[in-house]
Amino acid sequence: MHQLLKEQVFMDVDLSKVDGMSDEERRQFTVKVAEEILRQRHYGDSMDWYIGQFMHSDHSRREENPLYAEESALVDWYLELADFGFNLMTHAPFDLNYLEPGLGAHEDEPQKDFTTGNQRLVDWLRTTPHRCIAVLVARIMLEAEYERVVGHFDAVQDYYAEHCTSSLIDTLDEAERESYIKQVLECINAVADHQQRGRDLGLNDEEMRVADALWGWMPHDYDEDYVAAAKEVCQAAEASLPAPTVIRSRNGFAIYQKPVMQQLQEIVNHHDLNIDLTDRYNITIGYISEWLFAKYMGKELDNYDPLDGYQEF
Amino acid sequence: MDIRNSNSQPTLSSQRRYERLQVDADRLFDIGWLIERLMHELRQMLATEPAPSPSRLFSGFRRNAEQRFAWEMLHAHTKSLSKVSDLQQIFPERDQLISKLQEEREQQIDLFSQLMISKRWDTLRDDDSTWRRFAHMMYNLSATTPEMNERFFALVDYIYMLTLAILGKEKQYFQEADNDTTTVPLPPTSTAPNLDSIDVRAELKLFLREAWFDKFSTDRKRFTSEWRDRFVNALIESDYGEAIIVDFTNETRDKRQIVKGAIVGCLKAAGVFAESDLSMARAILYPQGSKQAVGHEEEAERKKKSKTLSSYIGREKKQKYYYWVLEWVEAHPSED
Repeated sequence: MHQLLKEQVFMDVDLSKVDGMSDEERRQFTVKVAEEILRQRHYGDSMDWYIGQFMHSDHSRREENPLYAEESALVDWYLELADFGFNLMTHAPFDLNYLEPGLGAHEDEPQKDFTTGNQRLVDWLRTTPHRCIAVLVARIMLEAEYERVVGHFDAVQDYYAEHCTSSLIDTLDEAERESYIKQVLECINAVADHQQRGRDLGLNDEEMRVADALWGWMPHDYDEDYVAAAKEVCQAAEASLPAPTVIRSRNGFAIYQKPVMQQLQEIVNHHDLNIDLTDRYNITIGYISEWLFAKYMGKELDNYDPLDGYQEF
Repeated sequence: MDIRNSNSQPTLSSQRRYERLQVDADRLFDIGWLIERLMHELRQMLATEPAPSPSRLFSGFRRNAEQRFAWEMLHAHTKSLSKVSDLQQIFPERDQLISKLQEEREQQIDLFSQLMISKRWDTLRDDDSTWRRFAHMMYNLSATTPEMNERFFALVDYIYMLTLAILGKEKQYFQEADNDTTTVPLPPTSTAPNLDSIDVRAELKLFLREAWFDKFSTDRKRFTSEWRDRFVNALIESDYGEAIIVDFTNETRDKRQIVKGAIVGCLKAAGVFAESDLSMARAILYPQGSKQAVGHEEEAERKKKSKTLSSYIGREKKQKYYYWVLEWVEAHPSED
């Protein structure tokens, strides 16, 4: 097995010194080797293969690997590398201090470090020689943003989906790599700016979500009419909510939705926004329905199709 | 093993919007109504100031998103006609052509849907308020650039032309394009004026010499009766003269009023008159007007007839010679 790993991924990397390295040396060595493995084949396929030798796709051990029976510093290091690679490849936030000491501030909640607010990380992304790791870290930042916005800011989610590719990045293609890193940073900053402007105008998250929905996309200039309408819509939706003790059901949602949509139509007409709320394929209606349903249910739901049980009114 | 999946994907609403653009393209991109409305908008703009200088025009567009939208949309209008006619020449067979056109349109809509503003495309309805709002959003958008707008108009026009060709409605535009290559048969009126044409000329000249003309004319010194005679002569000698004569001498149905109304309407659009269609129609039909005391029934009859004529006047845009009249009036400012 050692031989196979050497032939497939390590090639001429000198593994003899792993035993006896200090923690810091091991960390640096792991990051360096990970970068080399990512550079071997397109899309980091070598790393994918390597991880596959040690674990299943759900991060559980692949017990049939004979190395698990061995106890040695080298095998421990194999696993350390596999874990690190696993995080990178599955876009899972990890402790950034592993990448470089001082990058992360939240050891327990690493996703909080993967933001553009983390200036040291942004600088690292721009300057590090480990470009393949950098592109995957940028990917993790984007995925962490998705975590934050999915189910909360529909327009932002679509903004990311339209501006940052969701397909795999070819780690060997330098132009693709660099443009992806740049693009991700730009998009996250644009969203942060947009939301900050919303907060400066005194909007809460929900009102921003509705303002974006009424407009149809983000970023926009927070037109007065739309901001005013968004506030009114939020109030109307809030006022019609049944008491928290009422059991939520799809039928109940239909009963809730009907008058709210009528109020909405009045508000929209009053501000002359030209939104036809009976047009169920319109993007605004999609966003609004999704928001209302989540609001009614009191939690976010996976795979909610706003047209399920949609009633003409 | 492949562990590199991702939860990054657009919302369901956005996917649905995209599908609707594709599936409902025949309806969403058949925008003849929009073109007409925009034409009307620009005409109104030019009515207040017939010949603005380019700098004035464009500084006006910076302030007025609606006029700018109309201008840019019409500027791109029918520009991509040649692309569609190329396709028609490559694929002469109808079935093959249609599937090719649809394939092409699918790709273009794909590109179109990537533009932010396309998310609002399906809010356009056949009325004036929706496109005005759309125009405001389009130029309000801090993220758009002139290149993106240009791209937007080019794409809309191309998809519109493809849609027309798919629906088989492209004739109206293609005939104009074909005129350059095919030889147009000379209208018989241009070689030997026949009796009909003389009659028609005489009647039209008399019609325009009536008293109502001066009453509503915007410039009596300019639109003299000689000017009107020359207008009638030129109109009958133009490419459209034949059609007017045919309408005028139609034996099964008297279309004289319709033709007269249409000509008055075109002249009005060209700036010769500035009065409501109805009051003009009434003055044309009943020159004595209110001086004459009439009975109740007679009054109702008069109202009805005036209304009919005014509706003929209001149909000026449907006339084939509409632009010809606009150009002629512009080219003949006064008596030489």
